Amino acid sequence: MRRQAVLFGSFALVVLVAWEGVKFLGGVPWRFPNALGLGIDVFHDPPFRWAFANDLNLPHWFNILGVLGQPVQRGSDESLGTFLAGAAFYTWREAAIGFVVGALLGLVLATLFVHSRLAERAFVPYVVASQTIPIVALAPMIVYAFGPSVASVVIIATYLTFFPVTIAMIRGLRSPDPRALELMRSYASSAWDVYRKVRLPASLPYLFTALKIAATASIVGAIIGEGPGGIPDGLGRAIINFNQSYITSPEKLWGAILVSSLLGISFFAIIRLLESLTLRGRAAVPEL
Amino acid sequence: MHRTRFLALAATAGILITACTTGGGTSAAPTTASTAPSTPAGSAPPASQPAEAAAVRLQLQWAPQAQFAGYFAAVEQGYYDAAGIDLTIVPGGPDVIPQAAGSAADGPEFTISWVPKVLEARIGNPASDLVNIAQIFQRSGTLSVSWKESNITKPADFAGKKVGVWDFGNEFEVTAAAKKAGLEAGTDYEKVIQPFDMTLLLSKQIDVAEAMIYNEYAQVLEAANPETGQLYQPTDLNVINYNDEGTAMLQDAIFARASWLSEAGNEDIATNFLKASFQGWVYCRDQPADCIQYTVDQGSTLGAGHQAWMMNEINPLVWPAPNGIGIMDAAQWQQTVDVSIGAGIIKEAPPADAYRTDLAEAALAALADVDTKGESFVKGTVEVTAGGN
Repeated sequence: MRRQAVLFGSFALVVLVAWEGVKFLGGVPWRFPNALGLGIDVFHDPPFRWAFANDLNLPHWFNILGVLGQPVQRGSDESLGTFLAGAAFYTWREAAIGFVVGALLGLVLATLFVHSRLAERAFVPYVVASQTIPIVALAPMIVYAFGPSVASVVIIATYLTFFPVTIAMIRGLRSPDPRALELMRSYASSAWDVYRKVRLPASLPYLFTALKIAATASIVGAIIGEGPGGIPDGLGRAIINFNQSYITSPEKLWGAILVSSLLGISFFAIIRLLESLTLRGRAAVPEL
Repeated sequence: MHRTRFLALAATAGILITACTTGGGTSAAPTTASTAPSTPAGSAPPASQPAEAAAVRLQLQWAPQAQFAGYFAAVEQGYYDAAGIDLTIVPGGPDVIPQAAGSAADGPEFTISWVPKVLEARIGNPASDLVNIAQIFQRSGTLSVSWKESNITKPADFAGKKVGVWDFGNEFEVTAAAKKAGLEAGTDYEKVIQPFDMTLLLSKQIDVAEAMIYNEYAQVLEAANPETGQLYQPTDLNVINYNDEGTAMLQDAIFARASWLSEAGNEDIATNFLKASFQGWVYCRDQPADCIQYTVDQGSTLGAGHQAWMMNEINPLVWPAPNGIGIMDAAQWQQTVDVSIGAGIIKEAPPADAYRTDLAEAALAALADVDTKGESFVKGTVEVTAGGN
């Protein structure tokens, strides 16, 4: 765990140094009057001009962190960082509802498919096809159908969540040792008992692998859905507005992206924690 | 052993569910116009006061910004309440096509959209029955912006250049003006579909960019030239204004479905809605600072400086309104239709009932003691703020 943190930190440091190194060589002139409040005016004219390294395409990362500490709006007491944290929590709640509903839906579908070859053959292609429809095309339709509301956003998050759970649980529910299933049959166990005592416990590692994918997908779904859904309080609207004013303050959009990814990572970590609590003491499963 | 794990799993799932449902995650989404009514200054009695407030929705063309300040002001000043209108404002955004949302049978009763887009929707399949009931913007806000050194001052100068336009029916004022100057896209100039911002102009990947005077044009002025660290100045730019080129098309107007208007009592609701909306726009003409604040209050992610610019540029699109706010200028309508036909958006002129002025006239009649023409309107000045903050 500690080693992991050190590795993660070192890699982040390398990225940040490389980031500024590229800007130092091929960015636009660095102008920092009174840098760090030390009364020193920093000016540096990079020898090259690489388009990808200008302040529009690649703002200084310390400016991105800096803008998070500035007021979200002129004269506001709230900083951009606090505002985005609140928006992230709002979006997380939408995503979490979609996540729970989607996970249950995936579980029900997988259970159905595992017990009925007919249903599996008939419906799994549709389940797969459902995920080939671009969500940007589908989101406005869902909003037309269910109205611009949180409900539409939750449905979009659900839509992105149920798929990995369904597919993984079809595998997972079929994963028990055949001898265990034969033993249960020799006891004349009911299908429910087999499901409850053998199939479900055996499927848990698969379930959590799918839930970790679904957790991040549900965040993406909620953010996308907030656009057509007209939700003013989440990360979606912040991203729309910052996207529109990107040329004047690209750091704000980068800040919103940073917070969005932190949200996805946090949700992932929560599921990871639940996994380690639930599967404690079981044989190690492949990491994800 | 397994049982306890399942209990743990069930418990954590339960916690998640409660976390989701007890929070505000299920609170109503759209901006609801539920502010306390303040005394509307100088408001005339409603045209006909219904016993109960009529619940209606207004679909905005985009996410809240000063382009819609008049409606926010009418909410904040209590004009809708006084007119017996219980208004819910439905924000637009990417992936929201306002004229499509407003055409749906159970869609918002009122829709803000651009005239040519609705003309196109009216011949779509299914055909929209949206009717223009009030032409709020008397003038177009579309510009083509280029760097001074490119020396592009009129559409004829597009020859041999990379000309940026927006997609989705926003490009016709530009392409029609080029056509008028004898230039065809593809052969005489290169038409480049640009994103809804000015990045391609700033990086000089295109020579000319389409910009709204109240939005993207300001964004260029709010951006710093990386070589000097100073903001770009209007003197760095050449601007073509399509109101001067004769290919301007009518933009923000209020639309309603003919089917909805035909139901008993709904014309009165529409008249009352227009009356309050007009009052909102009059208020923004006279008190722009308040309207900037009302707009900024719509969302913390809107830059106050940018919204101040936008309010200052929106007012001259609305005012002066020679026939009274909301009344269609027949010549401008004809020009919009002609350009639409020339661009192939529509095949023939729309029927005469594609717009009506009777509801707006009734609303104006109820505002007899208010200056609804703004003949003495003079555009104000605002300071450009770096980053639009």
